[in-house]
Amino acid sequence: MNIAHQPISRRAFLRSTGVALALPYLDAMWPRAFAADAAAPRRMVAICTSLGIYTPSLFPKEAGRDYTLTPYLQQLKDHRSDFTVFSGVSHPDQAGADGHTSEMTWLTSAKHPGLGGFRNTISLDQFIAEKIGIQTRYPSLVLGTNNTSQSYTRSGVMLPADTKPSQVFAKLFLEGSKDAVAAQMQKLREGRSIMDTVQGQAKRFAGRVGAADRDKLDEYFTSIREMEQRLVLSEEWARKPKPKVDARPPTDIAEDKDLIGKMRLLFELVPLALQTDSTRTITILVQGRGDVPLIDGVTMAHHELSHHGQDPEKLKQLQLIEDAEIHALGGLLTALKAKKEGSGALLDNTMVLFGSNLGNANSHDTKNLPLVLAGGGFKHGQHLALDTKNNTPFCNLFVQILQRMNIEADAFGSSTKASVPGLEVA
Amino acid sequence: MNRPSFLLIAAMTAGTISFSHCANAATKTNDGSQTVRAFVDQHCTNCHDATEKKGGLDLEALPIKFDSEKDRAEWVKVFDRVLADEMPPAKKPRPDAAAKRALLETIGGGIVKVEKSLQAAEGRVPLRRLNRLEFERTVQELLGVETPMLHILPSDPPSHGFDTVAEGLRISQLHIEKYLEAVDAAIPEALDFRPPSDKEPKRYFYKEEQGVKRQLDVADGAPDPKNQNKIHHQMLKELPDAIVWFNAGYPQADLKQFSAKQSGRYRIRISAYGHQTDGRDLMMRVYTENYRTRRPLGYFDIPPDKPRVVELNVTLNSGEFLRIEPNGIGADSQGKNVHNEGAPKYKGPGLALQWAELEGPLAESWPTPGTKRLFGDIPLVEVAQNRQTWRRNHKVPYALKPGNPKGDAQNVVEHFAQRAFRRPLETGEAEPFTKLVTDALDAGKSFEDAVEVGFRAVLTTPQFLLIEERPGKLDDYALASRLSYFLWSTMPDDELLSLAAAKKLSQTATLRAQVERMLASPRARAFTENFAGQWLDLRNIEATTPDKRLYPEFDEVLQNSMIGETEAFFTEMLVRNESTANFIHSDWLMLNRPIAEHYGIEGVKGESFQRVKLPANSQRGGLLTQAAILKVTANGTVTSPVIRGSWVMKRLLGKPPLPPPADAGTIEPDTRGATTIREQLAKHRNSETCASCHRSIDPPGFALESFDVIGGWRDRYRSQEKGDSPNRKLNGRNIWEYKLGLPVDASGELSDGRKFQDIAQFKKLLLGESDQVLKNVTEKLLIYSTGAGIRFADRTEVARLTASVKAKSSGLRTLVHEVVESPLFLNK
Repeated sequence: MNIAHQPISRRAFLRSTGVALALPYLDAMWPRAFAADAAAPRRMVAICTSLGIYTPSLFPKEAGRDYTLTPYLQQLKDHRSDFTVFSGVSHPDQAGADGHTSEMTWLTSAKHPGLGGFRNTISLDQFIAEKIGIQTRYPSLVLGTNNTSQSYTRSGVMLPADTKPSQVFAKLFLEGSKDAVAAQMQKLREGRSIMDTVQGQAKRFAGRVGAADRDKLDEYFTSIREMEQRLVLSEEWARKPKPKVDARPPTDIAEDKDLIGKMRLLFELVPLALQTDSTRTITILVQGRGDVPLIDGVTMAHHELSHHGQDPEKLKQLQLIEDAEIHALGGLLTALKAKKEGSGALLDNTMVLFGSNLGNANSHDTKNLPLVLAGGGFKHGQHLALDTKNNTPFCNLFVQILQRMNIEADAFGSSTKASVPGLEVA
Repeated sequence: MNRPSFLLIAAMTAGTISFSHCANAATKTNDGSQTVRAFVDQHCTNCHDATEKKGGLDLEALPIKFDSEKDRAEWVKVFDRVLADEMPPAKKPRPDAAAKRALLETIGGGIVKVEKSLQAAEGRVPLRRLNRLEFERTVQELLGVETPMLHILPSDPPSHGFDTVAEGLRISQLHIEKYLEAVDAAIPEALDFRPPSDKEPKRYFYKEEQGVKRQLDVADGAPDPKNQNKIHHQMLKELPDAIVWFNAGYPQADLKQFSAKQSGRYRIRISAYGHQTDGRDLMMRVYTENYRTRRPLGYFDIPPDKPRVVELNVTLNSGEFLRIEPNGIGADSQGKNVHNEGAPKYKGPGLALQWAELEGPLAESWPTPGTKRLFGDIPLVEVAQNRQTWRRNHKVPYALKPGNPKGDAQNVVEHFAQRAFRRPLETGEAEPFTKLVTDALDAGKSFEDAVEVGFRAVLTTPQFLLIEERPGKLDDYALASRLSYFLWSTMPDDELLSLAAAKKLSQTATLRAQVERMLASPRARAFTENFAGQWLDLRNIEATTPDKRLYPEFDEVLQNSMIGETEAFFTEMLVRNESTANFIHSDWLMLNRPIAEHYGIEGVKGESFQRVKLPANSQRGGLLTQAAILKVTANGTVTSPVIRGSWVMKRLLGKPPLPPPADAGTIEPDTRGATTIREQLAKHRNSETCASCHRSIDPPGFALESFDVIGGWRDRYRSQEKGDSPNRKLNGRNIWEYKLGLPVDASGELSDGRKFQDIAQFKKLLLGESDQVLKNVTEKLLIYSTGAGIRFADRTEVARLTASVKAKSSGLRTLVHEVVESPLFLNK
């Protein structure tokens, strides 16, 4: 068989992938500042704190614009007109294998996570990456305070999260030595000829499997084909210089317990990655479990505090942690606002979704999720109080986000509508 | 006994029906659909029609056909509810016995017919890939390396409770990317040719440690040499033959005189004894440390005053040194610590360390067996310093020197492919891979680099990644793989493969002997870890951290001992072929000292698990009272009878309760000590909607209320606010962290009205469900070993197996044998 690799032209490759895309982005100069007249790309950042947020300290009593700031929203008061806080939103049918399995479905909405023959579905960010990821060096960034993430591929496989800011920074902005780049190119080409060889095994299998097995083989060979395409793109990007940013490489936080420190450091990458258009979708999972976070006044493990059992001491400590988390979110919003893009700020083109998969972590309740959406050019500054008994599907908001990303979609997961009433574009 | 019908089987636990003519019944009334329609109209559609649609079920709309998987799933539910007499509900008129029988025969027969024909055509188990654990172990085996790869590979979501089930093992581009990454981490280790240095063991004394000298060179009470205003307090104590540490914190018991220059196997011996421990043993934890991460190497129980020399045979990575921590000490009986008193005056317990001896990397044969397997007789030669290749951040002193590079490379890759595919190669099958290698040689790559390309390719092929089985009876090679991944979680060894080559493996006697051999091998540890680890949720042991204020006795050693206990219990059941009824109750347990003390059982010494006969009045015995189970069914603060009860139903009895209705809500835990969980659950009794399920779910949980979140026995709930001080001691000191609050009520009533007062009485009642437990373990083993969930059509075989094993005293090892000899295992 023919193993020698035929170099394919970029156009031929793109044709063969069947992906419609805007080529100019690939050829653009780096770093790019989007001129005032050019439409800046839209982006999405989804941040989840998987141990819940104590909603009595988050949700305002009043609906609408004239709400009184709650203790948590105090932390965001400088951004009051840049975010909407939602109540009465959740994914339906989240009773799962255990109290925390809704972590898997925060961005997917698949039902009954972990039960029986459960299969996860594609997450919002990976859906976006599938549609427009080809336009950036990285289709998506998946970050987290540990390896788990909420990003799932179309086949329901979790993408492991990058946990080390220094490594993310390096892959975004640091150019390898000449030798290292050459070695990388060599490795990529070698990878392609391996994929090519493996692809050749398809025939060997084709004749001897039944229908059920053929599906699995298809899944396999599709993966091989996609890997090959990925390698082609990686080669293209490897040839292009990386954008330069005016920031020093971060130093990773060695202390696992320093949840807030790790969270902040990951947040610092967000404006850099977005403004250089290195990616357009980022997920960050903030997950504290067995550790006692390094926060003054906190002496108990985060997970244990989330099961506060109404114990006043635990509630006090829990709120110290969550205050710090929301304060970090405030920092991210400030940074996104400080970066100018066109006639506005980076935040105007970036939807920042912040919240949790648990509405009440004390009882593992998955309804009435704590959710804040900031930026992205919406009319913010309100508490959108939706029905707390019959929750609005979270996916309705997802569809609205997709459309705001200029992605054609009228449904996603368990959506019933294409928007959340009351949330309008500015 | 006649060959039992599926209905008999399905009914075995439920009771009374038995027939043997199911298929005929269906044909008598054409396809039987009138029978079903008549029954449904009379008994079901009052509630289950388009308007009422109770429980989301509309039986008028459900076609009486079994071709689609979706319809079958619905009909299975109908079958099960009617069979169990749960439907029609108790208040409604009872269906006529013959009508019920006819209904069940038609539905059951219809479903079985469709499923059987599907299974005949395509097999029961879809093509499945290696899960990440199997991938790691298999690659390690193939390359003769120990490189960890698990952290690189995407996690595998369990399906039907196990990560070996094909349905859950999806493949995506990400997997291919990560396989390449994992393989790229492992291959360099296989090509890192370096002869072992055969150094003599060397003994290091703790009193020679710099850190120790800094502590002891200044007298206790003298001014601190660095800060004259401060008084130096010695935290360590020098004895004539040892140095004593009094806590696990500062100053740390590090051995910095030695750090591994080279990764490899090391033999480590440490001599230690307990000091001022009041006659009690003291657990010593041993770790490696490299200033960034520490890895536990083991725990050892150290006796008072008389040195014990412990020996470990472990892998050390370059740069790692030893750290030792005494466990569970740090305060004297008055609660004072060494920092308050200074070591000379302090009377609390301490760990006296004498010396540590290290030897290694241990000399294997050279070249290593792994190298020989990969490269056969190709000679290894020393390479001049300036021509050595970099691998794994250092230069490799040796290189392969093939006589005929192309021919040798082809042989190497062909041989590798054959091992990786776990069967002989088909004609021309290795050609594409050998071509990759010869191309690489032509392009000027070194022999090693060229071969590496071939290895990478082979390890991403479908033949390697997928477990290939063809419809019908498995051939001997496929059987060897199924067996090996079942009991070892890795590829078959030479003996299995040569039996497969001789076509002997599928003979019952051979199979039997091989299962015995495999279970006796240390590799069978993987079976206990991965099967029991998932069946019993042991993998979740770290998911919650007990509240330190409520559970000050909880620590790392106890947590590890919990897992150790339950794994040892499972292994003992297997080795001694104990009856599966022991999962409900046993008059013995596998204990080490920490877990025995946790249970209040005296006289058990040491860190290893030993079989202990329980005192007659003990509440312990069986799985449910084991600390690991009690911990994974609780959060760190409180227990919930609902969670524990549903765990018992799902995991032990294999009767998963239905999920709660969407608007059910959850109990908001409250630990302020004013109400008990039982009071909060009153609604489960008072609301008929709740009670219909919770009268079965909650009782086991009520019986288990006598055990706290870490599996300790309790008569009263621990509380932060209200209550009395506990009068027992912890590590020889008083307990000030928590109070004893409201009393525990562990009584309850089964759904059939039988009552129990406590866990002991509950277990007696539960022993009546021994057959159900056996059936459940049978199903779990079948799912885990074959890689597919239990289908309706499999029920006959499950029941046959269960009956057959029951007739042979229900031994766990007998069950494993029978599972392996079952047609479900022997066929795709």
